[in-house]
Amino acid sequence: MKVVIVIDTAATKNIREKAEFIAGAIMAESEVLDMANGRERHENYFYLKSLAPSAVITLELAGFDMKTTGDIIAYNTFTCPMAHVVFDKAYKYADRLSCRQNLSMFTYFNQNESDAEVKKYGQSIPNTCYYADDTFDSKAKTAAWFEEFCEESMVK
Amino acid sequence: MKILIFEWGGGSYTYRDIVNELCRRGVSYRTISYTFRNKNEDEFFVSRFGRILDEERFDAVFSVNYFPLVSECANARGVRYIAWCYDNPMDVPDIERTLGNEVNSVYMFDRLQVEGYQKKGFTNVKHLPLAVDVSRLSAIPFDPEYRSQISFVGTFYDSAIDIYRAGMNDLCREYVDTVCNAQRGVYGKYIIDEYMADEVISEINAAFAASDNPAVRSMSVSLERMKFVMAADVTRFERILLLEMLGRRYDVQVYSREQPEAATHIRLMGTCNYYDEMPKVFKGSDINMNITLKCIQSGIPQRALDIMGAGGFLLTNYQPELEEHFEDGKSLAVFNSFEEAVDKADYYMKHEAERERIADAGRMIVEKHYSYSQAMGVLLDGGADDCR
Repeated sequence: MKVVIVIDTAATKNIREKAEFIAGAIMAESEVLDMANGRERHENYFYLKSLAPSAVITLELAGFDMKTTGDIIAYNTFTCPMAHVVFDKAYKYADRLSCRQNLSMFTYFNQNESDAEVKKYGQSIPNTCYYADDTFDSKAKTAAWFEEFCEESMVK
Repeated sequence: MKILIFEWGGGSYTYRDIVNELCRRGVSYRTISYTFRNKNEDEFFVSRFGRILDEERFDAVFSVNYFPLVSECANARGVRYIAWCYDNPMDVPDIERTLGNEVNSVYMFDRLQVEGYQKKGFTNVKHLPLAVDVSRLSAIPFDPEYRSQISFVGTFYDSAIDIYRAGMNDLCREYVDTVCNAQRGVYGKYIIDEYMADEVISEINAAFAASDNPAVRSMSVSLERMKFVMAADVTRFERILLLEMLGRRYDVQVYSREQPEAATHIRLMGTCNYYDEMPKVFKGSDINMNITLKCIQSGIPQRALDIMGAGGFLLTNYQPELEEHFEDGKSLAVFNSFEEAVDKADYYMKHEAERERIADAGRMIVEKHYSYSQAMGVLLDGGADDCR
């Protein structure tokens, strides 16, 4: 199984460490793709496509600014399941959370995030999920989270 | 009324205009999008989409283009499934397995395509032309940034034909090339369909199987697929050639994802956004070209309606269904050969007032006969035919 973890270090400075932690925890071949790698957005899009990942994990909705000519998030053209992990407050990503997501996408919020806030900004989210505060502090819990995502999304 | 809309992940061009019309009618809707790896088999989709249909009551499921698993989910629950197709062909392997599902109402814009399915007994496949929201397009102002003499918005199909040709023996390759050459520049007659039959495909697949190359031996192609790649190849040739011919005389701007190497006399502008930029292209151009994908045998493609709906002047290849409401020289301009296309471009570039009258007339006809209001009436009320 090949998993790509997408981050944007220009938008979220310390996120790489988190990405590499997750990559090390999950039982899968993984690669971290930083949208702030100097390449054009469409070059990153085609690169991600070329990897043909079994699953994609995005952190802080990195890459949601890649859009099609129909103004849809480009991730929707992918066939693989996706886990979008939001560490910060939902309201900070109001624009991105309002984008239509595929049925195969699961968006994870911290369990401390207010349900009302999530519903307010994420009306279009097909699968809203929550993670415990300490999920991504431990490799075992991160691995368990990923396993649960794989089961839920029937990733192959 | 409440509709569950299924959208292909990348989004259909006409989605926004359709939901605008639904809102105008007071129809509530929910949208689910998904991109299939396999359109005929997807356990996750069937489970999740089915759950949505079980948990919430919908009067119908609707999609732009046809999706077999959407049909199966709706059929299992007795919920009407309405598919309005703007793709031709529909890129659905083994479509006939589910096309006849009892809940299906499948509308296609190409009358000959519909007749083909109806002859096979699919009476739930009906004809309905595509539509355009003229009021939305009219509200988009002219933008001098999109000014050009001649424009074309579309795809240069990167056909897979070369892959198949490489695996064929000389006889098959010559046959395919001859049919493609015969089709080039011919409108109103689909030669590819006439000359590509099961026997020819059997020969091609037999040639693949007999190859020394293991990669070729593992290849096989269906009749529908082969017809499409041939049509795409002919279309690519026609679009490049005609635009190049025009490009030698005028400023021709082309909005396309592809950048064909053979295109040296046209300006490749990249892509443009369907909703906001494309109408500006049409309004800003003296002449807008439509060169129809070859396998669309009789229908009026979306692009032609978009051009006229935006008030643009349309110069298009002949398509039989254009005769139903439009007239060459009165509401659009039609060509039947490359030479005629160039002659008409020359003429209309010199006759601005006439061009504007024609564009106006085209827009009024589109507004009257190809509106979303009319189309939705047919789609939602289960009309037997387009009846325009």
